[in-house]
Amino acid sequence: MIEDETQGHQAEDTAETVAGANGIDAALESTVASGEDESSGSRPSGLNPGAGNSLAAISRPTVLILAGDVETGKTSIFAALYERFGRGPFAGRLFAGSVTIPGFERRCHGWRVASGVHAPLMPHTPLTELYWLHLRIRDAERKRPLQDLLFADYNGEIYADIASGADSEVDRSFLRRGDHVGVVLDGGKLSAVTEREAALQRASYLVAALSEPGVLVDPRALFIVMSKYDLVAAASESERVVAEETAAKVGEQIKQKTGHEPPILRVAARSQTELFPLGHGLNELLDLMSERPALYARNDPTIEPSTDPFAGFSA
Amino acid sequence: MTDGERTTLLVGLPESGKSTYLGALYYLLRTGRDEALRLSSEPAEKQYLQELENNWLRYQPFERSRHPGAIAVELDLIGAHVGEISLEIPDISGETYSHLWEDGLWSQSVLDLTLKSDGLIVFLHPQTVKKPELIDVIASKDPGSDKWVEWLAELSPTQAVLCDLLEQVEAQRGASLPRIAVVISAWDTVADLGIEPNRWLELEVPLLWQWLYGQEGDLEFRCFGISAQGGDVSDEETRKRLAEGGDPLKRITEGPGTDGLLDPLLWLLAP
Repeated sequence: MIEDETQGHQAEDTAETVAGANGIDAALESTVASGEDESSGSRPSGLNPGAGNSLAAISRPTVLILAGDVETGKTSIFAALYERFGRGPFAGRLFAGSVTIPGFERRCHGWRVASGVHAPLMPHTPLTELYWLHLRIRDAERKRPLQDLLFADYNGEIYADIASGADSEVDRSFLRRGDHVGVVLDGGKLSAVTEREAALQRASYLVAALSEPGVLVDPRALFIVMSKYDLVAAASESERVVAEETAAKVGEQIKQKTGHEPPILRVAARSQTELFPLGHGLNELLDLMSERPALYARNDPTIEPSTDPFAGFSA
Repeated sequence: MTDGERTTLLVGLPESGKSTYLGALYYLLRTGRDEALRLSSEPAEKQYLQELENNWLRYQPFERSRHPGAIAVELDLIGAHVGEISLEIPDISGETYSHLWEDGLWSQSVLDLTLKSDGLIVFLHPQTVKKPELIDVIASKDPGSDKWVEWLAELSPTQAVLCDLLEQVEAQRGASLPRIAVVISAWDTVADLGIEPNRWLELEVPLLWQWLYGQEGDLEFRCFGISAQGGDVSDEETRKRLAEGGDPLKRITEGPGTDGLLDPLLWLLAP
């Protein structure tokens, strides 16, 4: 028998690579409470920029931030992307890796038979969990380079605070790292007469806050995601029209700030009906991240390619 | 004097067919029935290998290897195309890989073997592959019978675990991976599908197939379909039928594109 002493090599390596954490890393590190999963020695729910050796393997990622109220379906969108690749190539792309597979698996659990429930469930993202998820994809023809995507899976209350201008202990400098920042509108609320106006108002406040100078590197990073589109499609025709008009109003607000009409994506990450397949609309999200200029990188020409995706960033 | 030292890792979750393969492989190498590769001297771990071989010869279903970490196996081999080599092919338990998925903590011995390996054989058993089965949103509307099960790493689909293991191996080795042979064991159970092993992997374990196919650079992988047992040896009738064939090697069956038990190893060892 080969001598077998288990050692925490990954943990040791992690400590080593934390050195040199800069603006955004340090800010996030200071606000992240150690998750229960990490303290118990099991795999973490995602990447913490201030404490992950895995980041070193991610070169020049495209960063997607989905901003929206609590339970608008942000995490479901990330989970559905992974779950969809778990069924084969998707949207002309291959899954080429992820350093956060355990994090995706945790998030997808409530959608699976193994969870013991009979209706898909996506647990509320805790405020203490400020994690990034990673996905590496490649075009199915294998002619283009690999693309590393980083998703900020942050709790909706953070965005509610941003929208309302409330003080928050969470450092918001991560927003400046967003190449693409989607404002998520809950399709279910847009098609419900009692919820629509309030949802529009909160989205407007959020867009206004995100458009303020210095919050994003460029407000043209903004686009709109109408989530839970299966609920919109299941509504009456008049409700559908009003839901679309409401999303268009938010789009108009963004256009006034940026001079550009933002894309509006209609997404049913995990449809509750048979109307849509798993991950409906996410092909357009992947197209957007592949084809649209990554604004953060374009606006910071001084940043040289590096193995640290956050290198050169200063909050 | 050998032409070189090689290290091959057998990677797989519990009950994926690693020990069965090793038992049958030892028999084949020991008896020298295939000139392509045979033992050139008795190995130091003869006793352990004989145990595995004996189980295989007795048509016994293999119990899960419960030893922690790795059991060293070193074989001096000679073959027409590889010359004389010393092959380190440790038997690492499936539980060791399960723990790597669960906690990401590497034992020193397994890490050392991983760093020096120049070939991986990843094992998948069609009957033990766990799939990411989604809740049917149409059929199930009755929440009354819900019983929430907290997420546990062991509930995860096989494809997620194996992709993560390869990610970990790649990270430990500094983003370089050796050749990877994927062995779909118990191939007899899926032979009726009439597809090639690579296609089976693409259809049944798509995340892993994409992971392997989508890498940039020099990563070479190849799929093999092999049934070292030749049938379900937990079934008494099947055992008798297989035994009636006489020559134990006759029961080994291969999928399209696979020439025999040695194929994955010869491909890994080829220049």
